[in-house]
Amino acid sequence: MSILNNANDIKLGSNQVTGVYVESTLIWPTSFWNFSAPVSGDELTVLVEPSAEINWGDGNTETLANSALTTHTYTTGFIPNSFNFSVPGDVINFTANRLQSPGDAIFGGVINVASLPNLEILYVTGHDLTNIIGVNQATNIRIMNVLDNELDGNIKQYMPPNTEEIQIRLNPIDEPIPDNTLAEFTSLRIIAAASLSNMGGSFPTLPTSIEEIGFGFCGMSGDLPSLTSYTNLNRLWVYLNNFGIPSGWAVPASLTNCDLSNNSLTSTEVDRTLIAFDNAGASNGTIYLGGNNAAPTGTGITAKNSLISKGWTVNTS
Amino acid sequence: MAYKIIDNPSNEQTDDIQFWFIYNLSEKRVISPIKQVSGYTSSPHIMVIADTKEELLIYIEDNDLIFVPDEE
Repeated sequence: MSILNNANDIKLGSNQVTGVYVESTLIWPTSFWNFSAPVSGDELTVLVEPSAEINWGDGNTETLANSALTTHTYTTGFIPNSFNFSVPGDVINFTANRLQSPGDAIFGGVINVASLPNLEILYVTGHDLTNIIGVNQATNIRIMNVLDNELDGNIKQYMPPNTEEIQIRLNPIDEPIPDNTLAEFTSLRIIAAASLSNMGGSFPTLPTSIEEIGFGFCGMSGDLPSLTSYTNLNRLWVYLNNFGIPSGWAVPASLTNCDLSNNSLTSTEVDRTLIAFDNAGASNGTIYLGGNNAAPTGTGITAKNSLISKGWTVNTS
Repeated sequence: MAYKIIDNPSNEQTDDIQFWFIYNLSEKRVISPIKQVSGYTSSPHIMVIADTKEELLIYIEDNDLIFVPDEE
């Protein structure tokens, strides 16, 4: 395994390093990460797994302990634009840093994951990452955490074929999910896509592997489909949208954490929701139906009381 | 700084300005993110209500609760 095996493999420069976490074999594509000049600052923190030796770029080398944060102080007040690890590792984590470049330059990054054939986890949060290319070739990536960047277009274009978890909330995604389906991502367990207010579209078809769905505040609308085929689903957070609940709507017993608050649901739709969860038969769950939704009535109130008697936390208007 | 702490809330009313969360006392675990959702809440657990999210975060820290990060 070869990771960051020469001084040019990674450069820190005119950017704010607030979240770079790379796991598995990596050959850093410097042409796509436009780091340049040294950054102002006097310390840099790194965590590696397993133990590795780092050349801090100022002539000092140090053996880093496994899974421990190590901070190096630069006496010059500047962190060099390159350094290297002489012993390959599996994980190199720079997330503990809050570096500020002298000119407050932005990152403007594009990652080519096609050039990272063994990469399993990509964790780049809080940058101004504008694109990720080559995702279809990145068959080993399981986890994509790219929240709070500048990714536009649609969600699917950032999902490698074997994605198990994607965290993509707080990006300027501005297109609905193509063909309204993510079913082809047959390993997908978690999709956390909240606060994509310009995404729109309707609730997509998902693979049966799905466990957690997060589409809160995504500008989505249309009736929610029956969820009974998602027998692994345990969390559904779709607050602050404009979804509807059709007659006979049903949920799996595995679903015990639901947030449908602020969807402008009518009393009839709130009643259908409460009845669906009561009928599923699970205990000790949590459901939020408050906000701008209407209050339950009749059979909905009966279902609400039944859920409470089964240990549920229930919030309604 | 004022919290309202309700054991086993039964249709406890909150407005759309208040922040609140529910936690499991025996597990000391927050069972869902901090909410700012109006309505009436019933639960077998502990409900904590405050005027600001920061107050609740302090409560969570002071009481060593296991916190579920929210999605915001």
